[in-house]
Amino acid sequence: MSKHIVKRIAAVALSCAGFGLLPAAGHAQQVDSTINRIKSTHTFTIGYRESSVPLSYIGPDGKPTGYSTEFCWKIADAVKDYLKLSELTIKYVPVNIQTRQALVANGTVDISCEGAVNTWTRQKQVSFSPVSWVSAEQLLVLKDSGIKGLGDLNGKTVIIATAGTSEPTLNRLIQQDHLNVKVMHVDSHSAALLALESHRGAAYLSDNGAFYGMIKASKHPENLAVVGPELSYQPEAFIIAKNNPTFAWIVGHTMSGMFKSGEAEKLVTKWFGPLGVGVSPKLRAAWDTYSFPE
Amino acid sequence: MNYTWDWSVLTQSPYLGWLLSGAGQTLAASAGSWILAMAVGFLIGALRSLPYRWTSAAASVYVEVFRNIPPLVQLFLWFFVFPEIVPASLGDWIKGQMPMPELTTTIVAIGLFAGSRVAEQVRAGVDTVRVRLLPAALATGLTPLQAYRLVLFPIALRRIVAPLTSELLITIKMSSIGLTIGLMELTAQSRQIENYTFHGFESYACATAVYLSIGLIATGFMHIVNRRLTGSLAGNR
Repeated sequence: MSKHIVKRIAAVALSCAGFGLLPAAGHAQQVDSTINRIKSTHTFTIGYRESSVPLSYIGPDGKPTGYSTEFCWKIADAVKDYLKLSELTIKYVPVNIQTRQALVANGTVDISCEGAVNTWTRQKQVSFSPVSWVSAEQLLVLKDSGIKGLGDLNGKTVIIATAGTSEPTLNRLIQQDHLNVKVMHVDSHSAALLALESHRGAAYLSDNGAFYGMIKASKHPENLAVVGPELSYQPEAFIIAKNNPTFAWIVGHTMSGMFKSGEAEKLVTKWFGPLGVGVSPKLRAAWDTYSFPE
Repeated sequence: MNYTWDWSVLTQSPYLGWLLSGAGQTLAASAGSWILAMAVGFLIGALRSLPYRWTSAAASVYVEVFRNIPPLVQLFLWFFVFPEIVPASLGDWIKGQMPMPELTTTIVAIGLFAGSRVAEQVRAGVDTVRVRLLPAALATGLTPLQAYRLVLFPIALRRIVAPLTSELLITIKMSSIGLTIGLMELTAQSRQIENYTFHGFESYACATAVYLSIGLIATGFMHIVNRRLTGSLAGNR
């Protein structure tokens, strides 16, 4: 028996040692890897989300489209001009919340064009474009639940997504307002909708940016309501790989130009107008901050 | 690759706490579903091996239904559909008052699924000895229940310890599907850390190591069980 176990432990130790070598390889970073790759492959790879309406999703024609995607088409044009390429193929790679960072880091995706909240912790690992959209955390409830704001949550179950950034917000609110709530975790926005509509939870605390798509996806949109004050500031942006000053400059310069020319506002009208949403004061402020002169 | 390794995220607050609580939930879900799987497995396995047509038919239906529906679908059915088809008061209790709804549902779903697999192992084990030993046991004056409890099960159990070890390992790893209904177990917590810090490789590597350790400990435990059982059978203890 002991021989048996020793053998097994040796096998495990060996495979662990193999894993241990990975970090060493990971340190081989070079500056401007993204732009060098685009230059040599003549391909610009956009990461998109399959159902993040209206930021990035698969349109009726089966191709990625959306508010964020349009920003990246402009960035692709700018990259093409900057590198003086005659031809630049745009390739689309689907990403999700779990894969987007790794795919950008390993170079599968040049820019993840959807909406990732820019945080200082994440900035240790990746870089972000200028703010493309500002969402805020709010509550999505069923109208007949009678919940009008945070005060009505006492004794109820609040749904939060495991893949979001809502948990710290909820913890802060629980401490601040001495709320007595039960927390239910869900895996995705669609699971949250199901939990809400089957009365498993009373309110869904998440980015209001996601609510528009959820309300649209619901069979009974008239029963849902977004209530309460905006609980946080969630500046969303596109993820790019760290250590890429040239590409970051192109992205920033292009987007700044769109903010200044009013093109960005036109995109908001096009994609968010039908949902009854316009440029919020916080989004305006973020854009103005980034409108540097030439 | 443009990745900054930082293993210290694993020991930082609150991430270390997340991993620990995740490991705890994984252990709780695994242990709970394994206990349920063993109970259900031995009951159904015994029923299936009984010489009465209706008990074995009922047990077969159970095994085929639970074995052939993907466990993830079963989990969704228990979590989302079951509360809606039971009487409203019970459904509301499940949705509103049931303690630890995610953990409980995961244990029930995985336990019943694994139970159908354990039942097949138990039936196979009992079948290897039943034909000769059941009549012999009954002839000594034991009741059928006593014959199963005192003769057939102890011998069958010794024969199926090895395949049961595999079932136990599968059950432990399957606890990770609980994350789809919001159980914050080890994989879910690793994803959570990935999402907050973008240090996914470190957190998943840690989860891998923890799963591996739990699996090796479980294997070692079953090894000891096996030695105890077969050792006493051989009479050298």
